[in-house]
Amino acid sequence: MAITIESIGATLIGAKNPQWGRADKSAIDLECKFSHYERLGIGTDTDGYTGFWASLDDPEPHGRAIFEAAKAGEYGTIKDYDPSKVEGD
Amino acid sequence: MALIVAGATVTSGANLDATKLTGNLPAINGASVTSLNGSNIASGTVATARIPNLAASKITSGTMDGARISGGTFGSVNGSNISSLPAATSIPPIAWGAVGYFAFIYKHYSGTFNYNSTYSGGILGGRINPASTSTGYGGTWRMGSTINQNQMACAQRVS
Repeated sequence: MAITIESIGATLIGAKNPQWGRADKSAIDLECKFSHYERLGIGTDTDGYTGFWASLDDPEPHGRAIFEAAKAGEYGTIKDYDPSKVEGD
Repeated sequence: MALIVAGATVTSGANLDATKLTGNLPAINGASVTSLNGSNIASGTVATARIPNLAASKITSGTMDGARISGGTFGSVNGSNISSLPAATSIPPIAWGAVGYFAFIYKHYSGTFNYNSTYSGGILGGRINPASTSTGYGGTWRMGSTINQNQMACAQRVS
């Protein structure tokens, strides 16, 4: 089922490289490509993909939907949580 | 041939007294009939083409289906009884954390967030508050200006 951003009608085109974003596995860090990115000039040098933080507690429905899809393996195997990515330099 | 009505002979050129007629009229062209009384239309359906422009003031009862309202511009309307409006928290970009929503991003650690570049929670939420499970930085955010460590700038959620 297509995932859309309700407020602007944009559609998720693709997602890849998921990695657990929190130790408790309540968030997933991945790369997403949305239909409106090209218009905004986002991801022009990365085939349209840019980082996306998907979590269970995202106030946006599409964020929660991407989390569930990623958790179900739709975007590939989820890499282990890496504290160095979220605990600063 | 002469027609005899009530003992009177009606010939070509004579007038027939209509008050003497009873029963049903046959198929007849009524183009010249005048002074019809609308209250005598007791059955059937009047074609809409027979109805001229109707002043809205003539609609005095009943309920008009919302599907009948389209286009145009509302005049002065009192909206105090409008119901089923969406919750304020669901109206973007006002809704907290919604796509289009703006927030101030604080760069807690070293490094740079560049103007017009996008960042997501692994960097934003984590480096801003490592111990937090903040919900404020879901999705993808685009910086409104370039900031370095211990600086803050406005960013917009773009997905």
